[in-house]
Amino acid sequence: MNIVVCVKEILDSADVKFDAQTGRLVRDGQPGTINALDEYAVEEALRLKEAHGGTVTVLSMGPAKAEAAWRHAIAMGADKAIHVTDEALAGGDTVASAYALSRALARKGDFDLVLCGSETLDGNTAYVGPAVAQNLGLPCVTFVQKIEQIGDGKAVAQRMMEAGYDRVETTLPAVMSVVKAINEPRISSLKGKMRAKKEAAEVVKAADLPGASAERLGATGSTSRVTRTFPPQGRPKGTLFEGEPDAIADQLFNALKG
Amino acid sequence: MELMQDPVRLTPEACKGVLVFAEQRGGKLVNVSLELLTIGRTLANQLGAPLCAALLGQGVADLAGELQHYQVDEVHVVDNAELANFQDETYATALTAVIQTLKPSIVLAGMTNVGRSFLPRVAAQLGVGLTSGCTALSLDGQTLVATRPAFGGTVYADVVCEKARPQMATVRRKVYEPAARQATSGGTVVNHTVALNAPKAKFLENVNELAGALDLTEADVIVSGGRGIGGPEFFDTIKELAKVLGGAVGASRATVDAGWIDYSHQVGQTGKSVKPKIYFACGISGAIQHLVGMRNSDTIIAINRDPEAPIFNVATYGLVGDVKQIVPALIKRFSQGR
Ligand SMILES: Cc1cc2nc3c(=O)[nH]c(=O)nc-3n(C[C@H](O)[C@H](O)[C@H](O)COP(=O)(O)OP(=O)(O)OC[C@H]3O[C@@H](n4cnc5c(N)ncnc54)[C@H](O)[C@@H]3O)c2cc1C
Ligand SMILES: Nc1ncnc2c1ncn2[C@@H]1O[C@H](COP(=O)(O)O)[C@@H](O)[C@H]1O
Repeated sequence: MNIVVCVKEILDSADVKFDAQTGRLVRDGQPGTINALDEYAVEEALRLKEAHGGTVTVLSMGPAKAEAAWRHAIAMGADKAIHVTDEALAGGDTVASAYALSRALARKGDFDLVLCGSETLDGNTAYVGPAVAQNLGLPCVTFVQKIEQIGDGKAVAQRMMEAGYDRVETTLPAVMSVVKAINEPRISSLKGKMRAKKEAAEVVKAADLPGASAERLGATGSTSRVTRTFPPQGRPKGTLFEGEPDAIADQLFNALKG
Repeated sequence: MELMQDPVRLTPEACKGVLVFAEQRGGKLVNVSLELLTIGRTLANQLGAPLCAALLGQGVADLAGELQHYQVDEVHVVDNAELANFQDETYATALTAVIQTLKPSIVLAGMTNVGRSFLPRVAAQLGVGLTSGCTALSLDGQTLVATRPAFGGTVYADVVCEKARPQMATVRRKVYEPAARQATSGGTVVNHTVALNAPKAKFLENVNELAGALDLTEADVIVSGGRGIGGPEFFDTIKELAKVLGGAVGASRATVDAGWIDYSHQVGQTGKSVKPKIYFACGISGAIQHLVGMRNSDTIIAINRDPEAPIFNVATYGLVGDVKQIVPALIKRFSQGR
């Protein structure tokens, strides 16, 4: 079972700050981290490898300095990393990113499964997984909470829905995007962390992407544009009720009734 | 593995009108689709262009007729056995075919698990973007301005796709009021024949162990428990309050991670995003990752013994005290009524 896991370096949303004057995001100097859901995808890949053999390759696209995500995956136990990085890819929206990632996957080839997080916690688009599948003519199962069985060119997975879950049978190779319920990611061992420090990723440039036309990549290939950013509206100040539980309950009841 | 050809994009000149994906499950339209018909109608009127709905399924002629009661100019239907249940590939192929024929300027779908699964595939086939999880839509001339949260709701952004057609967006639940059903039906039904092969990823069955339980994302009242409830047993009391109020049960991640309750109840950045009329946060501190999932609720009621807890910053009503005492008192008071 050869698995590729797509991992993205993001800023921790708790650390996100805004310039009060411009309303713009302050990115500088903030340490990056692996997108939380991608950790679950890496964990699932490692468990599948432990059960079925094969390799786990992580694929990360981002600035040259954005090494936190793939290094974290190596520390967890992934075999190798591919880092897609190029000035020509900078400023790409999700369409351009999914386009480049699908070309990077086609270049790698030789995989049975591509695992993604169901969404990034910075962009929250949940676009990349299914769009990459589309670009590669592959099936995709989104919001996977469990892989029931996998092997012999097919898999059965549970897709989390608003009400319960759907059981989906797919041929392999396939793309799956995972939700948090799928597993509990392991803590990296000291040995893993040491290895992650030393490991080098295979660097892939825009020119290495097969069949990628320049006008579909990076800022040039992007169709969307952010015209304005602003902080969420604050909520009006509320009312506090203190005292005896029964009295509080009564106050709330009347407040809601009124 | 085949690398798909770069899609030929539609041009702005060729496109007009608004298309709403009318999602149905088990022959029933999901609420958010009716909400989209409201904003879809507003946008279409402003554009002076038609409002259309796309309906996918098997044996959905009645539903198409039902949609005609919502001031839709055209209902575009693909009726096919491969669309009986939701399957990404067949849904994507069918909707893409409708879009390529109709050439709408704007395509809207709900941010449901179905919408989020297959709309990216449609967008990728058309070579355009998809602004997901929008909380407001407006027009700047012919351009759709889609407002959406990013970074887990710590910032909002206006996103435009001026040159791309169609301009595609998924919209959160309960942002707009559902369209009112008209007594008279109008508009026309257009049937599309689309050849659909069996997909590579096939639907087998839906398993719903909690059948009958209220869907968190649709509930008008949610009572959520956090670590402050002390243990899994107190969820029984939380459930009782929810029952008295006719609501659903939510949870913070801390309680889900502790195994007190199933993940399907989790509210927040890595759980569900909810917008009930009333949200009770019982023993929940109000971490940013929890707030982003519930801060747009109409009324927020927080119960916490720490008067400095950040949850009180978003609470309409803050009840300071022990959940163990206050929740039973609420059950008592609200069961009494009047
Ligand atoms: C990447 C990431 C994603 C996350 N996603 C989510 C998410 O989707 N949803 C989510 O909820 N969290 C999420 N979290 C976790 C979040 O940061 C908090 O850790 C979590 O929400 C805390 O849960 P809590 O409020 O129940 O517990 P705590 O923070 O421990 O708060 C317990 C509260 O209960 C009060 N309390 C204690 N005893 C009593 C009592 N007897 N009576 C009344 N009050 C009492 C305390 O004063 C305290 O305020 C995420 C974190 C990360 C890093
Ligand atoms: N730049 C990237 N490099 C590698 N994987 C990515 C990248 N962007 C997104 N992904 C993958 O796609 C998933 C969904 O991302 P998104 O569509 O941006 O919400 C993530 O959880 C990752 O697994």
